[in-house]
Amino acid sequence: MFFVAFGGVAAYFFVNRKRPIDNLPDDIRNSGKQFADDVNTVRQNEQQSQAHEAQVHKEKTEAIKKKYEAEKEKLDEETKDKAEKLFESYKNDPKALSEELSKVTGFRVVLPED
Amino acid sequence: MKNIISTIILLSFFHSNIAYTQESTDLPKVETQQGEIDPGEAISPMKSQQKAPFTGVLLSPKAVATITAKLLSIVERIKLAQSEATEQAQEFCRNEKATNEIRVKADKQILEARIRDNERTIELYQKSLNEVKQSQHDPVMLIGLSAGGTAVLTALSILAVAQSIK
Repeated sequence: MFFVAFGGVAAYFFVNRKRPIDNLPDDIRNSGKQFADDVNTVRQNEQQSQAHEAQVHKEKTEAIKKKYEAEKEKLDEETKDKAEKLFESYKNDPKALSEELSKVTGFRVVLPED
Repeated sequence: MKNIISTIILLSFFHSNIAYTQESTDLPKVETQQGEIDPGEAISPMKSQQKAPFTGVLLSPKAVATITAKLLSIVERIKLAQSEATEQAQEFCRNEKATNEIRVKADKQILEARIRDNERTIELYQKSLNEVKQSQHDPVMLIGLSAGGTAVLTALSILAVAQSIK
């Protein structure tokens, strides 16, 4: 009787014992979760890098624009000074002034009839 | 659809040009002399009260000086615009390259993570398979044990029957 009872208990524990393969679904699930975490981390880092790059690009573009605006302003000033000098040099000499314009444009100078 | 959009853009372009032309042609009418010869592309230096050699536009010395100076600076302006466009294009390319590098690097890292995940999964399956293999009993041993057990039980039964007969 004792052996039968002992055998029954032993059989119960044998049938319900925790086998290593029973952990496989959880292990695979955990591995998948780790993969998802890795992907999230990579994407977050990527977004940060892209945002930083966008900021760098914006700053560089603005710097170039600013640089050339300053150059254009300088050129405008030089052109203005040149115009002033031309005017001062030839304001009483329309013929010489016409010749200056003719040099630049290639237009023919026609003298007026007296 | 593309044709319709192109037509609308083309019409709006002409419309704006027409409007611009209408505004800019609002000049006083000048009566030209009969039989006046077209001087072509010409300019005429004049002093006040002088007779103009052809019908045209009289500019003040300051206007002529400004036009001349502006025309003289055109080459420099073009060079400046060209240089700016080049630098902007270079910066655009640098940005495109950097953006692509970041994206490709991230994709590579994700692929590496996927490989690691696959390797982990394979390892788990391998481990489970090994454990299952180890937990399996040797069939020869089971047959032997069964045969032995049967023999012992048979012997015990014979012994019991013999004892009961006695």
